[in-house]
Amino acid sequence: MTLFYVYCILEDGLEAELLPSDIKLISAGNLHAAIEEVEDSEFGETALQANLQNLEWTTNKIRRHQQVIDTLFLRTNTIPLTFGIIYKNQDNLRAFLGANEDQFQKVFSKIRDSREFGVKVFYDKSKSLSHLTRINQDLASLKAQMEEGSSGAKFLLKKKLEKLEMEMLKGFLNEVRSKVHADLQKISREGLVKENLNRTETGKQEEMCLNTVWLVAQSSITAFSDTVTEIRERFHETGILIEMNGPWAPYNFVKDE
Amino acid sequence: MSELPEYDPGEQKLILSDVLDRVLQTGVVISGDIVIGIADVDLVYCSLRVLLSSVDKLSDDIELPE
Repeated sequence: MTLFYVYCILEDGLEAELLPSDIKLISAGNLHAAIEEVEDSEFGETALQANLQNLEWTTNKIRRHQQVIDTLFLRTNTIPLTFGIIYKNQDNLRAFLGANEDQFQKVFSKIRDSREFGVKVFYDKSKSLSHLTRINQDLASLKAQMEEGSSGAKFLLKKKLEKLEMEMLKGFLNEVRSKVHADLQKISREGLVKENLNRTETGKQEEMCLNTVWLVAQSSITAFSDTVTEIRERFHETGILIEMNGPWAPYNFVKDE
Repeated sequence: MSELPEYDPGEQKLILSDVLDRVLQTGVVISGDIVIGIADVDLVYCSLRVLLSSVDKLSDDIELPE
């Protein structure tokens, strides 16, 4: 039996030659679902459960999912669906599209002609502390006192210094976060703050202190990227690292409110 | 001769984790005839994240936005 794996919903019915290989459209009203015909033996309930245990299979399918969406969103406004949505027949899918047209149109009006970008802020603790010591008198003099003090005094001064350093660092990082967030919000349609990833997840030396995604109008992409560069330069030599990636399809901005 | 761009496994890993986040944790959830249960998606997500933090290999052949 043939099943229909659904990748995304498109605003325009693209010509077949603009579709990635093996992708077809199933349309209802003004909505077009980009689908791939798949086999029951691979994607049916039982087979799917078993295949999901196979991380290689799963990784390949996740990659395929992303690649199909990433080809299509450059050609027309695209609402990405989450991984693993399958229909048993075209009529059910058409009926679903028909019944939810208003909902999807609402999402299209939000994401139309825009792209998603991710911006992550990291900090190198020792570099940021050196920067703060350079610009802050209290911190610098406390550090000098500690270095000159007797061993008993040193211990207490060290505790005091560590406490002050943490306070200063916290203040500084929050200032960076606010600045980045405010500047990017100005030139974006929408933004989301996501949970920070830890160093095991990022594989980086530096700690993440802000993880954001932004919905940016196509006409503002240059301004957005210039702003990121500007912020990066401003915080150059303060231990702050700013990474931007994209354009992505608007994955983070299509969920029902 | 064209220049070979520097390979940075850390960078690739971070971006693959961005793909997982998007494909598994975002996007519209519609009621298909067959759907993967939330518990199963979470399990796949966690397994792949663990794998990702320990292995670079997965990211080698993935094509991604910059």
